[in-house]
Amino acid sequence: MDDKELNKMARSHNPPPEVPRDRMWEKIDAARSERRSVVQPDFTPRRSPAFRIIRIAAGVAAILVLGVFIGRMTDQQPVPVPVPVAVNEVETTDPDIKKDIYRLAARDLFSRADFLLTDFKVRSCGKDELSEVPAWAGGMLVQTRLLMDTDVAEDVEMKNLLDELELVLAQIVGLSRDNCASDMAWIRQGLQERDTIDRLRTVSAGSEI
Amino acid sequence: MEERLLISRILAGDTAAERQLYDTHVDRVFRLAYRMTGDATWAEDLTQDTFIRAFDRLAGFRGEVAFAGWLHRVATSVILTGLRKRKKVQSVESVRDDLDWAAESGPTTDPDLRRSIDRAVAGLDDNHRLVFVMHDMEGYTHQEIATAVDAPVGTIKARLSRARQKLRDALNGPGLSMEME
Repeated sequence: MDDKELNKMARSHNPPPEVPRDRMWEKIDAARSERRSVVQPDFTPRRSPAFRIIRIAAGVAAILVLGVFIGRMTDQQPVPVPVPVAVNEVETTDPDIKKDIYRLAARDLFSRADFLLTDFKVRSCGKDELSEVPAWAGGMLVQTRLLMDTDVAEDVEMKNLLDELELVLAQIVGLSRDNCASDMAWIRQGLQERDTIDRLRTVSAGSEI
Repeated sequence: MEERLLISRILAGDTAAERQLYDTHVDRVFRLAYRMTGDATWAEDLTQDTFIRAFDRLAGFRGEVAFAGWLHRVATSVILTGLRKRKKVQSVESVRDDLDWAAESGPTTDPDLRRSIDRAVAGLDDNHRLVFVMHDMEGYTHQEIATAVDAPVGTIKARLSRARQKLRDALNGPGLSMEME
């Protein structure tokens, strides 16, 4: 069966039922109205903890995006040791809020790392196959190191996972063309032995390790 | 341009604009959720969650990508998280059994073949299935998928190729090759 046949069969197979637009909209509208009714009456200048979390999370996200940018700009070159800017940027005295923000950022990173590592596991050493992976991993490596300097690393399990992720990302960034096959086999073996992808997946889905 | 105007109206509190934006995009989101879960009720829940989350975060939409791409980024995140959460409380096999696409199927071919295809598609891991479903079942472009899952286009192409190969292997496995002919 070639791709065309597979594609044709897939498209015609078990089409979804008619979209229940109105029924879904009623529930969406109800949920939105409920939120509006909670939010609208309160126009006091004092900001809620949720607002502060969102604002600080946006700051952390911006820093992480900057990290990705730096990682992509450095491409194959050695990744610079990041300055722990994120720690200074998060201005809150509440340690719980701070920790929650970093946990959110860590989960987002783990989710994207899961995607990268799952993909990496099935790649071969061909030039086209691997061309974009080290740069992709480099961006995440910077973010991982930033998070290692935050409160989230106080949690032993999180710290272990960040350490492991840093190691495997550094290995991917440093893949050499000469020993590509053996390096990749070594990295894959490490991933399998430590069950890294499943553990990343568990945390990114929202539960503890 | 019109979509930007709609978004501005929504941010200003216009609920009619919310409905208009919803109507524009809901079909694709629901179809994707249905193809990924095989369960109409679950797909409805995921679609609702997607739009509630998207409207809540609309102020953060800066227009770097098309709105549809941004919305699908929210949708794929909601769908994959939903699938993973359910798998945590069910074995893989029981999840696959839940993907009862055959029971709700429209006009199609031989029931045995249908069941074989269902099982083969359901047997892919979530990330490969998502790319296959988006591209081969729902007609998304490589670029649209790359935007939705925030990965390079080359990765999407490689993943699609692997998903197709896995499906071919599954469909041509023992006892199935005859059905395909």
